[in-house]
Amino acid sequence: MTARARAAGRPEEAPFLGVGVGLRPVHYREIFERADAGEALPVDFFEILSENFMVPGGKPLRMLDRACSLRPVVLHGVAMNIGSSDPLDDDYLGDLDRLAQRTQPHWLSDHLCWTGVDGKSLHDLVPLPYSEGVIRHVADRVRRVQDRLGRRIALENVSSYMSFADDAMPEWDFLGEIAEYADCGILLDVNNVFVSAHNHGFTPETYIDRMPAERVFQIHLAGHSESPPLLIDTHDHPVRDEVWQLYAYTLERLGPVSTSIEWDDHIPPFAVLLEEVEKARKIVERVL
Amino acid sequence: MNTDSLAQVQRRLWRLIAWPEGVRAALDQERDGEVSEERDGERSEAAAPLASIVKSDARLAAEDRLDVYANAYFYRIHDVLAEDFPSLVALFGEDGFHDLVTSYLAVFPSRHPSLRHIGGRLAEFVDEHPAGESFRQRFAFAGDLARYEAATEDVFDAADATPATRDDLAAVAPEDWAGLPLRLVPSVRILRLGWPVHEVRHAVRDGQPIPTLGDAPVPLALCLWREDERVVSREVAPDECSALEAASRGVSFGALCEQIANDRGENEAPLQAAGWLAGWIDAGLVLALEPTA
Repeated sequence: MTARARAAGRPEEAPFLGVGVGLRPVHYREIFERADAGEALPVDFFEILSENFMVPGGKPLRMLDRACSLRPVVLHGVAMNIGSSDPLDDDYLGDLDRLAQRTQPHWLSDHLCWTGVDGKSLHDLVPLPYSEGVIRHVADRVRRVQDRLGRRIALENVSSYMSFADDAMPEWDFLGEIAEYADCGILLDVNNVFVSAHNHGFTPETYIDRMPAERVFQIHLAGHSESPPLLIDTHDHPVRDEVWQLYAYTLERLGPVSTSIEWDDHIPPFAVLLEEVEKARKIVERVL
Repeated sequence: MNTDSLAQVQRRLWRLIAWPEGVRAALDQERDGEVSEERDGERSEAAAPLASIVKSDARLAAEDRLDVYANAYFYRIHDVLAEDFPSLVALFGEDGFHDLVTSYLAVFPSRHPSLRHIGGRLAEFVDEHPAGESFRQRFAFAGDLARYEAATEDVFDAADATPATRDDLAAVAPEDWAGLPLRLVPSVRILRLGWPVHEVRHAVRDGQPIPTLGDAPVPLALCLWREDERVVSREVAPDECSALEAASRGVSFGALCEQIANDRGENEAPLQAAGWLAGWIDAGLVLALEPTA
């Protein structure tokens, strides 16, 4: 089966948008100056960090509106806390819904993890025990979120540095089963697959092979750091060669999937980010 | 694993990750039996060896794997607070600010999904909490400085609004003035402080030495608001501060005059109120001038 044929199984609400970038304030000036000057902006979409714009007003929302006028957007959150034993945070979901009304994103995503308990946030993406009970717990919550927002969301696999002693299955089955039970999408972070494969000793290609193509809304690419014996998902480097190779492998299997580059620390000039976009684009063209 | 057992695991991991001295110190505390348990069910979970919950392997022990999250927890929040409170960093120095963040988080862990609100109780911690005593002893004005820097963040992303103009004021019929409800734009913050901490913030911003403010408070009031995308502030006299506070509560122009009349007499009050109102309108502080029906 060719990649193009496989593309026929892509999720309807997640069309191939091309290659985008995570929108960061440090790049506003360059992006908007390019737009004002009528220069090319070789980015197919912006990924918006939801929580950064859950504010009443001011410059953040003005910049957001401007970005939305230039390119299609998708929303990406870090604080839904979908795997927590806490009740779902209705205030948060209300804010997210309002942001979605404002930005009209193609889709929304968050992470398959927990970020806090008893109302106290760690502001980190902590993995979950991989068990049938947790699958049911999370899938039920995802369904309720989707009902609240009136649309399917995508869950992202996180980089992890620990796992649980009584994990009953590999991560790819955990993610796949939740997506199936909840009928949600998947945001496949190829760098996270690579990082977690190293940290937990599995083969990254196995993870990719088990991803249901019809549920993958989007792909993330980012750089990571080495902190022997672990790899850490720091988003502060260019995408590593091994991750580019895994990305090509992923596209060969899944077909065209909207892809965004994340860079969150030691953020380089926009032109450097565009070099990463161009690398991704070349792989898309080569593979597809 | 059901939701209850998931909750137990998450509570224990939260505590180990957020423990101020690190995961191993938290585990030592558990072993020493010094952990105060809030629920009967937690004790048995807390007493279980960590390795029975988090996997250890030949490369790395469970404690070390959890330490990755503990370090990330502290430094992620530290970095956001350092960005939001640059003057406190300059005041206490890197090490002192590190200690401040550690002590603050132990008392007021984040209770909001967004890091945007992480410093919301820092002033309260420094000014009032027993664990904040060493910080306020070192700099009596540190709490005020935290309050000012937090307000600056609030002003920056406060809701947008169209301010009233002098033309709006001129269009108000004389008989409508008394009932004219005053409202301020959402970005306005009025702070009653004991020290001119804005001078500290400005000195830090400009790379100048931090001014000496002394230990004894000298009350003053600041009004902060947003002009375009910039946060600006000015000192306001006590009576104007009271008037601004009244306007922020949505009193009518007539009620404002009555308040001013208590201090200045009935003859002077309308003129003073109109003068302040004109100044507030010129600064873009007034939201709308709508006569009551």
